[in-house]
Amino acid sequence: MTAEKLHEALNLLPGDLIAETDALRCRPMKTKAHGRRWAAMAACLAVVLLAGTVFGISSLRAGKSNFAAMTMQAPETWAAAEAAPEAEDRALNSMDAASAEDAGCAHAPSEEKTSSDAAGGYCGNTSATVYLDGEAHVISGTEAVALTDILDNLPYDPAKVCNCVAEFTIDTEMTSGYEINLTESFVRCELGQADLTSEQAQTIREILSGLEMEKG
Amino acid sequence: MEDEQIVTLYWNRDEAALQETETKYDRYLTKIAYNILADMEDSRESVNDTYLAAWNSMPPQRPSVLSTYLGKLTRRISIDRFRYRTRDKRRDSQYALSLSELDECVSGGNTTEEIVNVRHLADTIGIFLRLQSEEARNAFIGRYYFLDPLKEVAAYCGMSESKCKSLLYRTRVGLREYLEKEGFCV
Repeated sequence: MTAEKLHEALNLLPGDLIAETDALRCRPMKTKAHGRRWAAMAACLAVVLLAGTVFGISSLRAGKSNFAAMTMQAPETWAAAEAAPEAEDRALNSMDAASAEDAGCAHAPSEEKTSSDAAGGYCGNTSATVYLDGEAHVISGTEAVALTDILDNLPYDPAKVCNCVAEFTIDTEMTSGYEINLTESFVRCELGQADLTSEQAQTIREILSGLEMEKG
Repeated sequence: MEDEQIVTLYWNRDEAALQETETKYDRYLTKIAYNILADMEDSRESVNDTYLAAWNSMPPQRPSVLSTYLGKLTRRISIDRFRYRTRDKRRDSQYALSLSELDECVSGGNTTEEIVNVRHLADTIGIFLRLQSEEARNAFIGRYYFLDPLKEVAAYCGMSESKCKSLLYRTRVGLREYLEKEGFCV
């Protein structure tokens, strides 16, 4: 059988299947997927900032009342006040876990050992472009080499592709359109999706924090 | 004019049928032809041949959805025209690209033992597509029936290009497995 034979058969597909797709093709295009992605990220950021502000204010109020209590009450109260932030952390962690589960997709950092092949065939002229917060940042040198080494050598699997939103994208000299989510520790590209190890995610975070400092 | 009225004109052998068809579907059919031939002049000829084929086939045909019927005619005519082209003119065609993608589903062999019943193959592919998610089905038909570029398919399916490419890859792999299971020699 040849691919041309498949095409011949496709021409005999039932009309309702073709009409279903045709209706989609002829619909006026909505906002581009790219724009929707950034809008979703902006909405998530707004929720996180709001939650952080609310918790910050309530912690501050709890701190003030605890301070007053500490100056007047027994040492047992001090232990209870110290335990409150830890309880908050546990609550936040369980919320994060719950929200990840609610999204219908559970991600975890890969446990594969990463090889420290720093050479990787790249030279010092390597560059990469990070698209973050609507801006493009070109990086070069050892940071670009490290990024390229991580992204180009991950074990991408087309079966692992999920619908989770990327936090930012990176183009390397080899491949464009790497979609990255450091919170969920994954990278997605045309070849599929792969999990980042904790080490790899941390390396990328450090490179990005350098960009944030330059911007500041 | 509604499709039913246009088909009635064909049945009445009224040449206004051709005018109405051109007004309503010319752009639609030209896009299908262009996706295959990647040449405007050849696409125009294919669309004109489509109008002739439509005139010659109605009656006895009485399609309920004229766009699908005409689209199939254009697709077949354009693919036949493509096969007679030189290698240079084949290069930029979405049809040529799709052939290399669909090669993953088949062996490429064409021995005398492999007499493929195209009708049976079409029915099997149809059943396979109905088993897929709506997303996968629309992406597959958009890419391999309408031969739209990957970027366009991703846009109207509401996903990124990389996700669309991965989805198409998984669907092709699934199709190959399904065809093997159904007894086709892929």
